[in-house]
Amino acid sequence: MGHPAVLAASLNSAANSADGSAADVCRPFLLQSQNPDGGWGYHPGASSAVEPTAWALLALSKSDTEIPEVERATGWLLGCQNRDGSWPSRPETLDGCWLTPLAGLALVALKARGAETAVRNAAEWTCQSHTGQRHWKMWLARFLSRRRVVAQDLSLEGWSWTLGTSSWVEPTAIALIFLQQLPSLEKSSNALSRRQMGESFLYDRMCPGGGWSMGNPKIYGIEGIAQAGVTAWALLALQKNRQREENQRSTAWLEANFDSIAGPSSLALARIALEAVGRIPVSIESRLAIQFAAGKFLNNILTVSQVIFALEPGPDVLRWIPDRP
Amino acid sequence: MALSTHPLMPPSNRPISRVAIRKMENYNGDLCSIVEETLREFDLSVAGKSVLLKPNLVLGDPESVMNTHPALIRAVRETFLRLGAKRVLIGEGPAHERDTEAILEAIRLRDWLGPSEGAFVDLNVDNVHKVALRTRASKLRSLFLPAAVLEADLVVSMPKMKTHHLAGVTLSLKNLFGIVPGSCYGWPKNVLHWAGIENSILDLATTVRPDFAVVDGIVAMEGNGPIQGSPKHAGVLIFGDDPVAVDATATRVMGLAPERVGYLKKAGYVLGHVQVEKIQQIGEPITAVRSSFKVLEQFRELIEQQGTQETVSYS
Repeated sequence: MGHPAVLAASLNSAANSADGSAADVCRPFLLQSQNPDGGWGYHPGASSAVEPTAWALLALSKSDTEIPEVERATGWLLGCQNRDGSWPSRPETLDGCWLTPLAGLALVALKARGAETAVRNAAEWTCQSHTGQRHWKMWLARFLSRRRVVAQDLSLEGWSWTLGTSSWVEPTAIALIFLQQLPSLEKSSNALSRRQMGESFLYDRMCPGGGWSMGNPKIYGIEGIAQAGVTAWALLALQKNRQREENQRSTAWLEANFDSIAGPSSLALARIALEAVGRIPVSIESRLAIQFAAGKFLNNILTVSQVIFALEPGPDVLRWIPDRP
Repeated sequence: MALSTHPLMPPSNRPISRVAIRKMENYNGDLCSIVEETLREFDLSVAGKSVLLKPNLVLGDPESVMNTHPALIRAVRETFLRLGAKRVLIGEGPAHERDTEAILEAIRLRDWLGPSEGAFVDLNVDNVHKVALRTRASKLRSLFLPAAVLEADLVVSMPKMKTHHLAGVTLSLKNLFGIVPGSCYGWPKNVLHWAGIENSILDLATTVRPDFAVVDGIVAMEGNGPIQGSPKHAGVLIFGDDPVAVDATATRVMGLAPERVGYLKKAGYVLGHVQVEKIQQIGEPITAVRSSFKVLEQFRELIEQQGTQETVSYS
């Protein structure tokens, strides 16, 4: 089952069968790709890294979590959390980064026993981590700059990929989704203000025609090119405001562009987002089967995990729970 | 390891560099013949080597105005294989798109390459190793870089010829931003911007100096590059084993002065030749292919002969 060709054939079969589930096919592939240390690399056999391991756990969180693979992976993830509560991208890179809220989300999704402190520390680090935009030199540079490359409000702070750099849409969206999942943070004024500014940041960075690019809605006055994957993340983070005009416009953009999404990762994320905002699930199994058969998953654990997450029924940690603020 | 051992030295101590300019009207021509004929003019030891081609793939752009055209990628790959390379990988870590497959699909890279399973490496998610940078122009001291780059015997930078809204021009040196893994540094490799674009380019180029460069200037980009500019037909391919000299030549072909491009000027002090008298031209002379690329107003000073080229302003 672990061989990509077998997985392709099985995916295809699942797509053509009324009973088949592509997620049922991908899951064994994922389990067999786990490294002996408990983590997953971006590819089978690659060194374990936080992002594919967190996504593998998110994928597995939708089915039976009482399996040894999940326990070993949770142990690996907890083992590479920094003492300040952050996670690096890989154990060897050390510095805490944008993957901290994603790793926290995976632990929340699993309701992992003994991980409460790790989640709390991750949340605190997320609330306290800042971009480089607050540095006085940046304020001065913005004030003095004769060149205005971008039209956005640079005073709004979201979250950056790496500490001390600029805010971008995807890390901001992931941080917001993580913080929204933690009711214990509701009384924290810091968490609330970061969330509010993070949401304002996302709306400010939306492309005028709907959807989001990496983070610049206009460069020298020319509209940015919205991307499906980034748009999916932003819609997930802002889903409690689904009735807002901006959400509607961006949801419409994603729906209008759904058929032309070329990459399986973007396709899976788009489906997750559209379902989360109440749109009728669109079948993507056959498209994924075709893409996989053509070698288009790039043998990527992250992609396989996102596909499982998109297709597997079950509790979804990326969804907003209405009785939360 | 592809880490550069190329000596860093001032221009006065370095031998003359050679750069080839070839005319090519479009991507339907016999690219393989022209690439092979040109590569044979350089003293490249390819037999038995593993080669990494580093094109510039930015976003899913079916017209390949912002991306290195897949026809050229195929031609260069086939040529290196014909010259005896043990393996030729194509590696890129797109800076503006996390879903690399979406780009490959949009430009139909697999259709162009034919049977080539495993030929593409997504450098954003490859295994990484920590590398100390050879120079300290930026505040970066080290970077995690992809194994596929470090394990290649030859790295070939294959940029699209474009103007750039922050760096002036983007060619074979700026193209190295794509080897910095997004899985460690995010998208669009913002840590390099914060460390200073020009100095980051220099630190990367001295550490992973491309062994060869092939610039796709058949249909290039002018104005608000590297993404939102306009197509510019320049009808040229530019080749060479000194990436600084290749970029300097390409800049002159664009009607711009490489001595006024900050990072090229600095690279000229230690890595390769910028001065025209230190570059031996093969094939077409620059005058036969020179174009007038529009630049953003703030890069007006790059125009080689003031008053001969348009600038572009945006609100």
